[in-house]
Amino acid sequence: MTDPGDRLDAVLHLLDRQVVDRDGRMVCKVDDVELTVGLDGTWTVTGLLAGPPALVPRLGGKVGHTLEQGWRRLGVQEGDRLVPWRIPLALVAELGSGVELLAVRDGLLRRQTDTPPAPGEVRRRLNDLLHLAVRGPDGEPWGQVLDVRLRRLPSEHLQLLVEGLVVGRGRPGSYLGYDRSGDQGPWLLNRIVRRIHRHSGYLPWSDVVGIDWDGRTLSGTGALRPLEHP
Amino acid sequence: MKKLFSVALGILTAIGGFVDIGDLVTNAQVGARLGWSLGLVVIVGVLGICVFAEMSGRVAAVSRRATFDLVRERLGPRVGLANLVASMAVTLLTFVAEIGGVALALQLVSSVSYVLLVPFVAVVVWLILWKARFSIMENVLGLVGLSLVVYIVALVQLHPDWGHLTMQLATVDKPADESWSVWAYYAVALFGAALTPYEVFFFSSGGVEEKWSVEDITTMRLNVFLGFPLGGLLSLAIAGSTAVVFGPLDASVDTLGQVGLPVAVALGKIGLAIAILGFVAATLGAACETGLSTGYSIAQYFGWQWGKYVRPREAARFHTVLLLVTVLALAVLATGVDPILVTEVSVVFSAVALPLTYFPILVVANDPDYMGTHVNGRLANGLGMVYLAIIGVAAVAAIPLMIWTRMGA
Amino acid sequence: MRRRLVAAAVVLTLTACAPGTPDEDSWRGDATRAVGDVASAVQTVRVGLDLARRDRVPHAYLQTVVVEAETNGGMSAQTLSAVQPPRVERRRASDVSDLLQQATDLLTATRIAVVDGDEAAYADLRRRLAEVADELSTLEDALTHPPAEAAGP
Repeated sequence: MTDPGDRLDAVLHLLDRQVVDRDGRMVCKVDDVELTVGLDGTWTVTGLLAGPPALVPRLGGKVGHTLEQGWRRLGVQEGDRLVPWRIPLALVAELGSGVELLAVRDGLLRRQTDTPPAPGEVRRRLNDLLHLAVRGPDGEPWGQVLDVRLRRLPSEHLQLLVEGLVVGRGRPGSYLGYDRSGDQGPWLLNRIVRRIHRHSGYLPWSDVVGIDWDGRTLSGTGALRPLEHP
Repeated sequence: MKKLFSVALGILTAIGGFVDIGDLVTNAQVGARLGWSLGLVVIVGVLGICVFAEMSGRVAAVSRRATFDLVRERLGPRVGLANLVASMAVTLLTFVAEIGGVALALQLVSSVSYVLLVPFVAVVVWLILWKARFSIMENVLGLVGLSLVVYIVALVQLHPDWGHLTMQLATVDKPADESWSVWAYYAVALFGAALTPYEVFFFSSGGVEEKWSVEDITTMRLNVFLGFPLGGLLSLAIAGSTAVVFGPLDASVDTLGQVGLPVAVALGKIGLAIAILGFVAATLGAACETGLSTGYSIAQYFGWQWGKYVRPREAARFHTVLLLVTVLALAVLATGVDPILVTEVSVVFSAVALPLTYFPILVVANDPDYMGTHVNGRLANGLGMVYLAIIGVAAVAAIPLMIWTRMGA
Repeated sequence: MRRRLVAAAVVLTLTACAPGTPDEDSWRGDATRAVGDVASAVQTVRVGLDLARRDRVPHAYLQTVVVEAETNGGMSAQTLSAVQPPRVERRRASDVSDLLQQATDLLTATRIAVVDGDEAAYADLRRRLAEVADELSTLEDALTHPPAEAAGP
């Protein structure tokens, strides 16, 4: 519906959106987003991921864990059981209320392993970044990664570069969209959500020092900037 | 002229489609035992469904997306999954009750046991879901359901003490031999019957099916604000007529046959035939709606193609879900469980599931990303928040009341 | 582990506090409910037969209503008969079970007449149903009082 402009938040504008093909037929939901760490260290969005292998890890907690185990056990003989479907970002025509593709949906979805990354590049998922505990330069806890800010690069087809992180307490997406406009109703809900998120801030990607994947921690320098919204 | 016709059709369909087996049974039970003392609850319930149906209809018209579709986007997959499980469970229960209701209504005509009629009804429902065009299904069943207007005629014909009834309604004057806990239980049950979770999801999915756009918002509002309250009037008429016939006898209503008796008392065989026609249409319509709702919910959560606006072969998973759900309902009813009992349980659990299903609608209808300039105004938000509070209270009180009063015994 | 035990204990206490703990009042409550259910069934059938007299109800409809009333009434009576009455209520329990038996027998006789289409018997059945309904109503009122206050020889 509204054009997100050249900046967008991955969880708010991309994740869990309906993917629709060229003829308006529904394909899948964006269950996760594929991020590629380039040789120069930049992170870009390279694809949309779908299917239970992408969705189930996002459920988190005990329920998510049980469902993950269940999913794996039900197809233990399949080699690609844990590999999600992938739609390359180049096939995305538009990001509106849903994700509109350039292609038709017949035979569209391929396994992520069918297109391996270039040598030297590492693939990650958006879900890996979400919920990482963020610590400041002196180790003080700043919160968790709630969202990932992306910048649209000027080019013919869609290119999205990771620009920064939205950090705060609570769960990703728990903004319910109230961050984008101060007077979004209902008034009471607005006030409650803003109160919950009063400690949230923005961390530019350049201020990210390191990520400890096993310890699920991300270290930053400088300070959390105030949150401006795309 | 054509526009006027389609607006009238929409309103009439909304009236006829408002009542389902839960409304029929619960209002009849309430009327017999409590008269119109719960009338205010019916009015509050009907206003509530109007508020939220208007919101979900607006969401469909403006964003061209169904409400449940947007729940996962806005609230995340975890809350979305919880929502899916809760609303699916209640909708399935309601689906079983509706199919059972059709079979019970047909039993009244044929005196064949309803258990034998259930497979026939299930096949008919599935065929409608598979083959019939969405608008034909809605319009035909909605218009035929309008026969339930016979209850208003019957109530007038029974010459009730209008003064007494209106006093009961206005002053919440509960009969002395019933306790307040029973009153409260039936209040929650009536709420659950009026504000069924599936209704709003179905309404917005239906809006997408019928390709509503911003121009259709006014028509949609007329349907909701004229059609639904008039449908609510039918509920009051049902309660009133059982109050007049069964109240003085101190009898309670437990079967669909009893629900129809006041019409026979007032209007004889012809009135009764019209009433049974109304039963069949209302429950069949509701069975189709609840069946479709289960398909809509699952498909909209996982992102599968859904809808009757595409050919079945283009929405294979959606139609497979519909088939499986129908078979499941058939299996449950084949055990011989009393559909009236299933109905009573389904309205209580509807009340429990309400907050989880209505809260996301309020959030989505306020989101400018989907709604543009058509976000909720102050009135819609104010009413929405008030109703959320009422729904919260009803949801918390439902199960304890059900245990405490032994389901209103 | 301890939290779960506490939660279980709370749930059990709450369930125990719900009406239905075995005691004298409990039987009275069950009996009142059963008598009320059977009385509803009897009244419904009475209304049905009255409608049949005035030719305001089709035969299939009347038959369904009567069969359902007989089934529901029978189930209620049977459920009560399985409940052990406390000693102080033994006499009343016997009165209740006699009257319920009489009522359910009458419902069965009505069902047989209706299914057979024996309309000549309707008038007599209506009269008897009215009598039983009155007796059930009186009994239901009496059951609202504890046994010590119940009048009787």
